[in-house]
Amino acid sequence: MRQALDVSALPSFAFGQRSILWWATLGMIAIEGTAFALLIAAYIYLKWRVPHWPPGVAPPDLTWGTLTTAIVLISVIPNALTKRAAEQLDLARTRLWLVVSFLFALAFCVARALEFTALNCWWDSNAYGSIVWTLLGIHTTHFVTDLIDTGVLAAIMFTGRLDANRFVDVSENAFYYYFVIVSWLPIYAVIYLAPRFI
Amino acid sequence: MPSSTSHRASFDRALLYWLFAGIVGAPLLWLATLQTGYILAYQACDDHSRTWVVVPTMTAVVTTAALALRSARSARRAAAERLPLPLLGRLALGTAVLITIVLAASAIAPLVLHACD
Amino acid sequence: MSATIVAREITADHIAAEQQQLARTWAQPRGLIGFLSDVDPKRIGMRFIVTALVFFALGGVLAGLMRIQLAVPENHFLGPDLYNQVFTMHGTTMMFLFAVPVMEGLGLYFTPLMVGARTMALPRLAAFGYWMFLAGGIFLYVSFFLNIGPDNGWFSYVPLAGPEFAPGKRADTWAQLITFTEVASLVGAIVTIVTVFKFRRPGMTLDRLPVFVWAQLVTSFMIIFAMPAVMVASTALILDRLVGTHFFNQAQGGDPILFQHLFWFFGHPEVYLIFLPAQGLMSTLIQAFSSRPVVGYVGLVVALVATAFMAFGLWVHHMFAVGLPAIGTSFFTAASMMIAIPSGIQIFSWIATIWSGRVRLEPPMLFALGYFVIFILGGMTGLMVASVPLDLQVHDTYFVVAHLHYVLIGGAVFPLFGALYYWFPKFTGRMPGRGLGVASFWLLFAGFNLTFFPMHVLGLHGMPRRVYTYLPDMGWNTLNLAASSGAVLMALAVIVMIVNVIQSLRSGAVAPDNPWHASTLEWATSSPPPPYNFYPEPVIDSRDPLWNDPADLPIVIGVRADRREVLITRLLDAQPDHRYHSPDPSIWPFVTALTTTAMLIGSIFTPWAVVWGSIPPAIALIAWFWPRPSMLNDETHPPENARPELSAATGPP
Repeated sequence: MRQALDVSALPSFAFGQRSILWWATLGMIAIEGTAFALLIAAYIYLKWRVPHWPPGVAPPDLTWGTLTTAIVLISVIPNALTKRAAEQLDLARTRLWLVVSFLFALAFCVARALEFTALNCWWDSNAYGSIVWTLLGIHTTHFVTDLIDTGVLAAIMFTGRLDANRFVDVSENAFYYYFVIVSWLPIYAVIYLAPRFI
Repeated sequence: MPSSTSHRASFDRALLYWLFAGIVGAPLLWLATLQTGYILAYQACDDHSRTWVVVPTMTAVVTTAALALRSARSARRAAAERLPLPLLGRLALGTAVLITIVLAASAIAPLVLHACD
Repeated sequence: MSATIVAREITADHIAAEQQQLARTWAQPRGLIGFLSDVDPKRIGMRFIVTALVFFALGGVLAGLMRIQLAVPENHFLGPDLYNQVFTMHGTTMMFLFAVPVMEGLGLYFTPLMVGARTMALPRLAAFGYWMFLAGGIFLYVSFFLNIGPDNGWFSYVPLAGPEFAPGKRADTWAQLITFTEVASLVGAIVTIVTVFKFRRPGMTLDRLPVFVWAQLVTSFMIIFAMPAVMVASTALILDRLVGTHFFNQAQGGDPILFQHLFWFFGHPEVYLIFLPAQGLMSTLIQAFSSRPVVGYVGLVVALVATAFMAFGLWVHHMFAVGLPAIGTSFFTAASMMIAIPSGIQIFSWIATIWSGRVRLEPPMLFALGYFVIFILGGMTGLMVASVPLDLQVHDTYFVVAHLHYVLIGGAVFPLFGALYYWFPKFTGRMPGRGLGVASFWLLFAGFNLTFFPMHVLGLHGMPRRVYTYLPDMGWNTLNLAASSGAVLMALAVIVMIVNVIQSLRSGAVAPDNPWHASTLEWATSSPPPPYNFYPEPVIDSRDPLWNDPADLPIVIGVRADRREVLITRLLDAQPDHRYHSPDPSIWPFVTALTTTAMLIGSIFTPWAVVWGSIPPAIALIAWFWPRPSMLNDETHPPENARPELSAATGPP
């Protein structure tokens, strides 16, 4: 006879900090957050080098940018509800709020497309235009990626083979979406507020 | 040694945060001082005054020294707590002390150089 | 809902039956599709190591070509344009395709073993990382042979690499290679962190982690914060060249120095990404061959963590000659000198370990001792070039070339070869030849010093870097000839190593589980390890389990063997938390890498490649993550039937 540590009664899935996927998502957030921080630092560096900023053009129009910000802030609610439904393994509510989140993300993307037309600069006119378009473009890429993620997850929750791990996927996607929202706020401040107030 | 794990671990959250403050906070403060010092060097030359650089650096030295002392206290408490925390305690103390030394070294040159060198 | 200690009748028959079941469940998939679908971190790690060593050989050949060209003045072996390509390819290969990937490969292979786990976290992501690394390397070399390989140095400064002065696709090749290798490194970093945090065997608390695992963990964090900088720099470069942005165009408000800041914010941590795992290797080798635990474990861990943080504050020391204010650069002088303190802590800890241990001068230990001589010399010259006035004299001369090779080869390559020799029995099941091992060490040591020591003098006598030839009356002739002769010895050393590998594979003695009587967990299983790594799995009770743990510790049972299941433990105290179905082999990581490669190569020719080219990888990713029957968690399916107690509340990590 020997002693043994019997782990067979342990659950076979977990949410939040206990899950592998949470840590992987956190790693992605750290990487992309660093990239955003460096781009913002590049913006400040380029601004610091010239006396007039933006050089020779008006700052980006506030309308579309503020609208996308509003959409994204409101979308915190369906996102939170999606996350909570997933963590309660509630299939019906998870399906509902995933679809709602997807629709909000879609609305955001439409508004973002229009936002690009109201920047009052082009990426190839000068360094200011380059950094503004790149900042906005990189954030948009992240948003579109999350839109596709959310859409695919919704499709899985309606049609795919389900077990508890799919709910963990939904919960972690919602976690990542929080990052996409939060990362927008400093970028908004840099693109729209900095040229007007600093 | 693992035993029945039906209870949840009761780590003192405040202690954990102070430990991480030592491990991560001191280096982050040093990196921030590095960057501000580097940027303020231009301001120092414009105003012909090294105060712009010396004051933030000295502030950072004092802060990390204080953090090192706090980490020492946390490390002593951590030694009495559960297993992994003594290591974290010593990590916090070691990092904070080392960063204080590095910052002190950084503070030397601004005291010696002229503002527009 | 918890793990409990029970008393069980566990016979040898039980153990054998379980091992057979595990061998079936974790078996390597067969055939070409199986090869492309493999997710075993040991095999992925081995692929990283072998591929990186092939690139090392290629980079060495390129160095050999440079040394032939520089052996005599006014040589015509390589013309100036080809020479520019050769030194760029040499640097790019060694830094991006050899040094970081080989350390990553060792990490993938040994981190799960050293923490006592069955496999690595996110194995399909690791597989994807390998294919991206391989694709990037092939892309670079094919470009080189098609005469569109990069030629602006491994750091590709603007404006030389910008649209105005570098027409054609050469600089774009460099910039896109960065994307491939950076993706490979980043995924390896995430995989390592999750494995070390969540896959440790019960009882392996953070203060019982082997120093090598600490080194890999700390390196992974560095990768996460450093790689984005080179991503931003290379992306901005491609944008400037392809779509007309002006990040680095002074005339339109841009700044070439911005490129240098972005690149070196990555570039300095990059050398520590190479160097920190090697320090972990040093602790491993010195502990094993001094037959005692390393002295000053806490100091070694503090040194690793401190070095990692401080590495992010040194980057301007590569820009001392750019014209920045002295007060600003003085911070970086101070930091560059102070980073020697953690290195010093490590060196004295190792010396104390050797002094108080029973030393066995096997070839791995010889390589470790070689580190002391070479790396310390490199560190001394590092302190010298950390000083702005001195650096202004030697910047862009061969003095810096000497310094960087002393620290990189002494600090990373010597420990690497020692470690490859040390772990050869574990990889292959055969013992490596001792005589050839000793010979290769001395050849490398002598050859290295003959090649690179003269370069200190050459630099102080004014020979600049990156020149394809020099005039005969500069006084540099003898030293260059000496350096080129040393290169011959280094090449011989590598050939001897290759012969040793082939001979040992063919006819080396069969290796037992633990031929070196080492203390870490990879030696607690067969050589090579079975696909499931360990069974039975006793819990961990000390920092050096194979030396100090009693024989009758409880073994972990209850992890299913009929599917690929692993035990997830808690971050701070390694207590069991839940069981997790580890992903099965899959072709989709390979397909995703293939389609991503097509998109990246296309995007150096047209920006539309990013738009249209992103569709195939997106489809591949969806296929990757789409749930399949074999991965269905039958304990929680369908979820409506999930027992209430399975609703896991969030708890401590």
